Formats: sequence, C-alpha cells, structure tokens
Amino acid sequence: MTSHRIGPLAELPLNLGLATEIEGRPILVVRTDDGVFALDNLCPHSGARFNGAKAAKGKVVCPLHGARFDLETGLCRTSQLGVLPPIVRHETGVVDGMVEITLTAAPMAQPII
Amino acid sequence: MNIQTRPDGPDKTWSVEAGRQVTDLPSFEDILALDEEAPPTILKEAGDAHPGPRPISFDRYFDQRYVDLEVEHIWRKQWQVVCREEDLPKVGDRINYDIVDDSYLVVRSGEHEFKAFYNSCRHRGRKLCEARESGRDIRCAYHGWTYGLDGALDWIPLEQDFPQVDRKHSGLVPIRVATWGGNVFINPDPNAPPLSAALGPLVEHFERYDIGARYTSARMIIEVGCNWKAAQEAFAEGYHVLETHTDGMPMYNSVATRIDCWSQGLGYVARLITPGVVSDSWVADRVSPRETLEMYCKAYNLTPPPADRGLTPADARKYVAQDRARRLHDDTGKDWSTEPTSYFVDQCKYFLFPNHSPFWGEGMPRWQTFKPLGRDPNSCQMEFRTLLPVPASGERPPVPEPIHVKLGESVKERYPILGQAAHLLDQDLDNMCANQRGFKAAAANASFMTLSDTQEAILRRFNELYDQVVGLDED
Repeated sequence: MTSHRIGPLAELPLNLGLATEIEGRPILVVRTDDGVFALDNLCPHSGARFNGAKAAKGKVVCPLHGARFDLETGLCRTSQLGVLPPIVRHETGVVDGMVEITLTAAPMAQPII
Repeated sequence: MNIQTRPDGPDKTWSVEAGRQVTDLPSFEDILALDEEAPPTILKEAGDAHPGPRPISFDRYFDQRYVDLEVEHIWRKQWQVVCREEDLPKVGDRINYDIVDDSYLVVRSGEHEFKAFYNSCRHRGRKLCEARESGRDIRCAYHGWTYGLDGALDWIPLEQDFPQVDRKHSGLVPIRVATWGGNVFINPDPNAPPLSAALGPLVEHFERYDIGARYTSARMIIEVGCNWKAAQEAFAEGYHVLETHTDGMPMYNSVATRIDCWSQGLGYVARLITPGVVSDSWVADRVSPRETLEMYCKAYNLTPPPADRGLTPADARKYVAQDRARRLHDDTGKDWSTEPTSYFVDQCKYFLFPNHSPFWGEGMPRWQTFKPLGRDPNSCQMEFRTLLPVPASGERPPVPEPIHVKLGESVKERYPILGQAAHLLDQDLDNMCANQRGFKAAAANASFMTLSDTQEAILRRFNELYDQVVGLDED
C-alpha cells in the first residue's frame, strides 16, 4: 500500500480532529502528546464526521452524541451506546517531520443507525 | 380538553415552510446596539464554560433507577430552593418541603432566621407538617410531643414513662438552611460546600437587582406528565419558539437568543437572554416593527402606542421601556429611569443547578422551580411565580394562594383570565407530554439527545453537571 504524505507534524494542532481525504476515503487525523493517529472519519453510531472533534486522554469525542473512541484501537469506550463496531485505523509515520498515512485495506465500519 | 392534540394548530400567518433557512442572525449585542445605551451590568462578563457533546440517553427521563440516583446525589446533597421568605412572613410560620420520599419542615424561627428539620417526630416518626401552618411551637398531632421553633424537644407528655429519653438529644434533626434573593434554600448534606459556591456569579449579577426586594404577585403550581428534567429543558432554549409558539414569533427574536454558562464556583449557573419587542429573524420579512409593538402591547396589557411610535425596532423597544418604567414608578414610587431599555423588554433567565430559575429585569419578571412528583419519573411539578418590585413604602402584599393546574388540564380552559400566558403554557405542556412519550418510543440506537451547538447549550451544560454529580461521568 502506498503511503500518503499529508503535511508537517508541527503544523497539526494538538487534540483536534482534522479531516482529510485519501483515495476517496474520509480520514480523521488527530495529533496528541502520544503521537499522531489516523482513523476513518465516520462515527459507527450515526454516521457523524469528527471534523473539529476534541481529543483527551487518548480518545476522540464524537461531536454528535459524545461517544468516545480510543485513538489506538478505534474501539468505542462509551458503554451507553451499546456495542459499536470499531472505527478502522490506518498506519501513520513521521518521516523528516512530515506525517505519512498508509491506508488499511479493511472496509469502513458502517453506522448502526 | 384533550391535551394530546395541538390546542390551536400552527398559525398560518407566521409558520415557516420546511426547507427555509435563516442565516446572518443578529447577535444579542447587535440588538442591544439599537438602544444606543451602555449595556446592562449583567453583560460585563461573558460565560466562560462551553459544554461539549456527551451521550444523553433518553432513559434518564423515565427509568426508575435515575429517581434513586437523583435522591442520593441531588436531593440529598445539593442546595435547592424550598420556598420564598415572604411565604413564611411571621415567626412560627412553617411549611413542608416534600421531595420524592424525603420531607423537611421549614420554619421561620426568628424575625430574620429560618430553620429546617427532618419532617418526622422523634417519638414514632409521624410526619409533623403537611401544609403551610403557624404556631408558637411544633406539636406532633399524634401524641402531643412538642418542639420549639429551634427544634428542641420541649415537652413529652407523661415524661416519667420515658426515663431513657434525654430530651436534649431527642430534638428535631436539623439540616442546613441559607437564604439568598428572598429565597429559602436547604441542603441535607452537612458536608456540602456553602450556598455561595452554588450561587457563583449570581451574587454579583443580582447585587443591584435584589430579588429579595420583590414580592410574589402571581403563583402557579403545575403538574405535568413529563420528567422534571425534560420540563426544565423545555424552558431552557428559544429554539422551540419557531414551532411551539409560532404565533409568538413577531414579539421576540428567539432565534437570536444569547446563552452563557459560567464555571465560577461550582459551575452551576447559566443564562439565556431572548431579545424582546423585536421580531424573530424567521419572520422579520413579514412583520414590521410597528406590528411587533402593537402585538406586544396587546399581549402584555401596555398602553396602545400612538401612531408615530414603534416605526423602528429601536423605538419599539424604547416605547415599551418607557411605558413599563412609568407604570413601575406609579406602582412603587421609585425612579426607574436609570435602568437600560434591556431591563424592561428582554427575557433574561438564569439557571441555577439543579432546578431553579431566577429571572432578571421586568421584561419577564419570573421565578421557576422544577421537581419530581413523588417517585414517578414520568411526572413533575413546576412552580411559576411572577415577582414584582416592592413599593417604596416597603409594604409587601401577602403572597397569593397558588393557582393549581393538575395533570392533563389546560391552563387556558381552567384560567381563561390569564390570556396569552395561558395559551403559551398550554403549547409547552402539550409538547412536554409528547416528548415524554417519545423518549420511550425511540429505537434503541437512536435514543440519544442530538443537541445544537449554541441554541441548546444549556441542555448540554445541565447534563454535564448532572453526569458529574450523579456519577455517570465516563473517563
């Protein structure tokens, strides 16, 4: 799989969901103190986008109903919402200060409602 | 009257067709700028808390387990308004405050002193006070055990038959009481922070506008078929005016409602301000400032405006402010000319967690509390008052007996004299009951609140505090 360069790490604001698109797939990029993460930009609850979402303690918060997703695993940590499929994650790397994303082959998790 | 159908149907003149959007909304500051005055002091500090999204599942409005969580973490731990000082004008006046299964007796124990106790006799537990009463002491109606207004056990009939009882340790069990703004608050938790922590910015905002110097001119106790939190939320945003109070849109710009939430103290205070005597942006292209003014004066029994007034929104606001200032001067003998226009025309409602709303100004001089009705999460009791300034003489009219509206009743049919206010209330009650039924009808995965970023910020804030206090905060 090819890796895609998306921009300088230093220019990514901390703890904020940024939207981009790679090969037609909506991707969410979040930089935290633990690193930079890339996941599909689609909440498996009701299909919301994470544009402008806040991140804290290793989790990103869906702006629609507040569901929290672990940035490392894509798993939902908000038990009230029941069992949701995890959000698919993509590999990230930083080369010469530039963030690179390699898409995973797995299909996007679809919203349950 | 069947409360389950829309009382009137949407007013054809003002309803907005599906698909329309309104953008470029004026801010509250834009509307204030029309008045060409220094802004009111309460706007000095904007709210600094910005609640984010969170899962708010519908079951908190109807599942019995939340009733018990609320008893444990809210009703037994938080400062809550039980009555106003004016409700107990004489030493010895007392009233019961019943909340779910708990009950407290609140008494004016001294000229400027209130006490509160668990409402249960130390003998065999009989509830001591079940209605507003007066007396020099507190006597149990069962066996005559008698307590002073300070709760001390003063008399046990046949005391020699109770040799093991030390009266000093068998008095009424007290709970904390505090007053602010003419309201009496209690808190059953001896370890809770002081009332001032809950009041936060309210103290400063109302310093010049002492609610204690106001009297209750009207009082309504309304039972409604929805959860107390849903009832409170129905009045916590202006977003519903478009559809629920369609015919009210010419008089208030509800879609330009300004909302603030503060972190000061316990973070329990928020506020909404809806500008008055300006039409809603949804219908601004269909109604003139003059029409707005005429409708407003008719709805609020103000002097009909002469032909040359209200031709601009600024003058419409000024006309109402002048009319109200003059009437208040006649009623109170005080000078109101130093207050800004906003004070007389805008709806300014504060929220104090968990369940009280004091209002600022004469635009809508109200006072509200919301509480559960017994153990049933599907019904609640709202108490609404109108508070007016006490005359310069200081003479307070007595608190009127409340109007009661029972479950399923229409306010307008029971009390037609209330006119426009009753009509608006019926529109709200209808919605609130339908909302409660809808909570239960939702699909399992679609049973979460979807809240707007700005207009419904107070609902976000309330539920944020609720989750923290009740222990539902996920991390």
